[in-house]
Amino acid sequence: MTEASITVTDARVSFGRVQVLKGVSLLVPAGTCFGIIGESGSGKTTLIRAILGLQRLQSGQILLSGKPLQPGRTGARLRAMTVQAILQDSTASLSPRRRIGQLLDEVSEVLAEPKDATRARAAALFDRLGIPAAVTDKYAHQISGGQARRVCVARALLMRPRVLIADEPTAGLDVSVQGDLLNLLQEIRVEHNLTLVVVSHNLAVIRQIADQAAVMCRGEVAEVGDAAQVFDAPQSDYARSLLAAWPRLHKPANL
Amino acid sequence: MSVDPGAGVILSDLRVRFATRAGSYASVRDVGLTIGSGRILGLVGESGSGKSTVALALLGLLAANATVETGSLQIGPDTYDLATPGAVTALRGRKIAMVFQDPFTALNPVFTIRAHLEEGLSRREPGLARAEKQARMVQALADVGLDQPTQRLAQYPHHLSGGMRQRVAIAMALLAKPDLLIADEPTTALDATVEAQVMQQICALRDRIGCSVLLITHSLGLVTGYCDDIAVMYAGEIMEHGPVARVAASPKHPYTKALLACEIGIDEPRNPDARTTRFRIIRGDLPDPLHLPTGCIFAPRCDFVIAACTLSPPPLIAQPDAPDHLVRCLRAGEVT
Repeated sequence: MTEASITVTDARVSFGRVQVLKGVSLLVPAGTCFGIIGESGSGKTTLIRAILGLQRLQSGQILLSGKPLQPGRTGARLRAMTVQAILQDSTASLSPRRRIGQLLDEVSEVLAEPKDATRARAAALFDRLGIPAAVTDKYAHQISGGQARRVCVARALLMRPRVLIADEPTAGLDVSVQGDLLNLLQEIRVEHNLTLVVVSHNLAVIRQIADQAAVMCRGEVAEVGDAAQVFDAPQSDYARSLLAAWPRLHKPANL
Repeated sequence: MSVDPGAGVILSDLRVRFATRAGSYASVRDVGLTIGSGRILGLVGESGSGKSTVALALLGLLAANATVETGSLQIGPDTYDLATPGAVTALRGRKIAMVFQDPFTALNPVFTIRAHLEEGLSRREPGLARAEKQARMVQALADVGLDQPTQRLAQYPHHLSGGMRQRVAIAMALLAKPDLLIADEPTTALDATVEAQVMQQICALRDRIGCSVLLITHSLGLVTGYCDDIAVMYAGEIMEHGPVARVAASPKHPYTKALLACEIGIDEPRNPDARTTRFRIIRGDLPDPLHLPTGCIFAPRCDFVIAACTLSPPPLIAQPDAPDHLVRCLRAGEVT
């Protein structure tokens, strides 16, 4: 299978008179972790929606593994097999009307895989991700937020994607458990040789997990490069001010 | 709880019980806080630790199924019994002001900024002349760093960004000139740069009116960055309470230590190969409030646990070398 990379060239999107993406260009190399940071309203989520094919571009181009996004149902199916996403509100991403098991059955429809085969893979993934098997018979509102997020990860991985996009994966999680989800992403990234795109307000987290990072500001990329460079020697004024505003944690050196 | 002679606000022995269908339980147990005048105390704790319940009890705004069993609040020379219904009603907007978490719902969408500010001001200083009122309100908005303060008065909350709305909430507090300002997760909904501005405004307000500030947060970064004192809460109890400089440099409770270890600093060493980075967690789950452990409530998750920890709840006691550094741990002396 070819490795998936993402190429975004001069992407533009407007909502009414407001330009929310003003010509964004990015290259996410296959197999790397790419972090996207920036403040609310900077266009992070719109960019992700465009990569997922959920937001039409006014102009510009997005290539997945070198191929442009295809319109229509066939295109959507191909895209779903290449790119999967874990969105911010995991509980809301799971239909409240169906049991978790039924939601996972949809994967077999899209992949045209026998239900039993999908279920067997799902059971193995649940085991791997530490989700109790009993969750299959529950509805989204009956499981905790942390579990819902894991179920979303499992559902995304069932599609055998090449690219996994995580929008604010640690939002709403306590600091004592956020590491659990991050470690999980780090492990599956290597196991499945995924290209990982992580969008987050949490600069400290992105700094630790990303190979490369882009700083977005008002619909533009203010700075992009190796994470070490962007975080520890930022060149743009905006990236510098964003990093300066991050609260400094003073903790004992031995921790 | 040791009493600091210069203390502005002292909360002691707060115990709040909730009645639920599954049974009743005390979600906050024997909580005491000491906040000196002109000082900011950061109350940290994870979801379900009871920190917001403490704030709501101080404001007398607890839900109908909650009862304050014990608790007293001392503000300067006055003491209020929190177990008496309505004991703090008269304090709200006068001696105690509040900045809420969500700037999008804390302000009333059908009232102008003027109406919001005027309400508090009229409550604090009834009978103020119109011109004087106007001048004070404009000054308050200017003090919290809003541009065009006079024009802002005529605007509605939806005209303002989240950070500006939090500034309005701080301006309202400024006009109330409280002895105690409670800020419950005031920056959670805001971006990092706006968070820094709002925290600077809260510090400025403290300096301007010399009040005590209770900052409720789950961010240790905010506490070590802006607070003078810290109280760490876990499952309804205070685990550690003391000056930030001391506690952050040398936490004496295993929970505080674990929490600090989980928090990721922006200037921590970075792995050149990011793929190999792994993060710290605290294993286990919060105890079921209906079935609390017999001994220390943190014992099931603690790395330092010994047999004695599971026998009876450890007391919150002062460190031998620091009367203002309190720790609820039998092995506090060995935690380094």
